[in-house]
Amino acid sequence: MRTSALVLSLCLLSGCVTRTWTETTETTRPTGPTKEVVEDRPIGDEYFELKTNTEADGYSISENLNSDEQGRIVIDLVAPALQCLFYKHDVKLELWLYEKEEMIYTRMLTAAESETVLRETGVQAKLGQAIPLRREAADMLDKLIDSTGDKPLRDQLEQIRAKVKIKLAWE
Amino acid sequence: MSRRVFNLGLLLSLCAALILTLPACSGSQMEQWDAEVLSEVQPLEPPKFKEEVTAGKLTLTATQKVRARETPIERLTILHEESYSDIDWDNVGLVVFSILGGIVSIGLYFVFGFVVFKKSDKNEN
Repeated sequence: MRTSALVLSLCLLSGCVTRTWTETTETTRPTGPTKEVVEDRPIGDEYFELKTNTEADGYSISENLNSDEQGRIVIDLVAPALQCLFYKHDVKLELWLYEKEEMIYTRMLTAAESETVLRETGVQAKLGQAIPLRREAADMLDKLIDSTGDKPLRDQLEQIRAKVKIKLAWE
Repeated sequence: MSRRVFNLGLLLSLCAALILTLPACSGSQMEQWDAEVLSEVQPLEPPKFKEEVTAGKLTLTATQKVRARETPIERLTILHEESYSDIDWDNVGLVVFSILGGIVSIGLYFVFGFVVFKKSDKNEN
């Protein structure tokens, strides 16, 4: 009986499992000469932060952006344009490199440019395109509609208001 | 005679079980060299931006002049393979049938050892 139990136990142990894994080492060997090139390369797949001036009441735009493989960064100018017209001064756009916290690009958005931006956006809204805005920017749009005396501008702002889609905090 | 058959059978069973369990101690390593490119990029100038404003959107295309050094290399990679004994739900069926097979084999052995050979011994006597 004891012998049979021993044989059975050994048979049970025969359930073998094989596992394989790969270990990458730091050992390398060169296989060819080093090639050196100097060229313009797109800054692709990078994260940036867009900031605007901080107003007296604390309002400021801060958006996270990223570039595609070709180095393209698309900045929506509607909110900065609203800030420009609402606070009645040029708005400075600053683009910060997220990793290094280094400002790499600045641009001023003037009142004339802001009106152009809102006119073009108004046309897009009239054609049915949704206009994504943060809650604060949408409130600013409402206040601007009430306060502006410029009739064509108010019409454009109302067209935009009709198509505003509130962006959530994580968007 | 039956005692000799029993001892021989026990020895053979233990040998069979050892052969089955030997892979539990096995393991191997295989070295291979994988090709890759070691690249080092050094920025030479601050980034440049090409601006384009259309339909309320500012599109910036960011480029930067860089010095890129690329060296083709081979990296040593070790492929490990290890076998160990384990019983889990994936191979439980295999184990159960192995045990059944073992019991049947041992049973057949005893049938031959104690019935067939024992009868022959009696006949000789």
